[in-house]
Amino acid sequence: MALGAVVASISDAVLVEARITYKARITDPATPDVGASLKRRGMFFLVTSDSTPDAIVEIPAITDSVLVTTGPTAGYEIDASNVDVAIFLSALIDTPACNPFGDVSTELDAAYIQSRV
Amino acid sequence: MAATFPADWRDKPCFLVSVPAPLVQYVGGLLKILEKRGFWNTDDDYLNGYTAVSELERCLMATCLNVLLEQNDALYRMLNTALFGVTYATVTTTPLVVTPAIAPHVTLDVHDENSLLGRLDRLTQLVDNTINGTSVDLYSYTPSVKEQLQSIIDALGTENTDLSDVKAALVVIEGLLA
Repeated sequence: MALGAVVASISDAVLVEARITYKARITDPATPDVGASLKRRGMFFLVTSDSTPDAIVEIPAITDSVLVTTGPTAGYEIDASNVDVAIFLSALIDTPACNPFGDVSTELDAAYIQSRV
Repeated sequence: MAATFPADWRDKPCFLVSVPAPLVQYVGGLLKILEKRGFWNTDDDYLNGYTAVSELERCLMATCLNVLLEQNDALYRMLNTALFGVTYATVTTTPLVVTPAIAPHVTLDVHDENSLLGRLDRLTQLVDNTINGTSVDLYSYTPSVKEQLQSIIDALGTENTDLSDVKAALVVIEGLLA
């Protein structure tokens, strides 16, 4: 907010919102698996409450081993009972993950792959 | 131009759209732009639009049509069992496999006499056999009511008729109609 105050003197705009983004870079990343695609996203839709929208969390290059293998959603739906997925979900809810409106997620509603660019 | 979104969107009708499973990931992915604040005109438009689109994306994995079709099949099987007495067995639940498979058409064959049509069939056979003396599969009462009545009429038309024979015939008829 202190930066906003000094920006005000050189801008005709009015500050109404400030966002803080933390960025971290892996300086020595491992080599990804062959065929891994950032566009192939694992989308997690987390319930916040009955009256507020879901929190959406996306994981790039979701691995096939966490997808369900039977039923009509085989190959598309993410298996919430998978051990690694369960650990991830637990971490999300403990964090807690929020939607863009600040509503805290409580549980998973649906998870499946999407192709996003 | 930024988009607006009605605040009363939940009161609007919904359209049922069938999305082939392989297309789900692309259809869902294309909705990404609607999750962004920049797409919408106001903060309220953003909140309402984001809420609607996140619910739509969530629904893409609900396999709503599968549920509807399975319920439709379940309704068909319930009627086929109740009306005709066809017996079904669940082979697996995930995915749901039930035998026998639903046939393209049904016939009037009764598979179980305890079904609705089976009970009607029993009733029809009973009446046909006991009243008219018709030969049927399930019943073989003899003599029939019609035959008994005819024997009574014949007896009353004859002199020196033993009324105990007439009475016995009436008792038989009473028993058949009880």
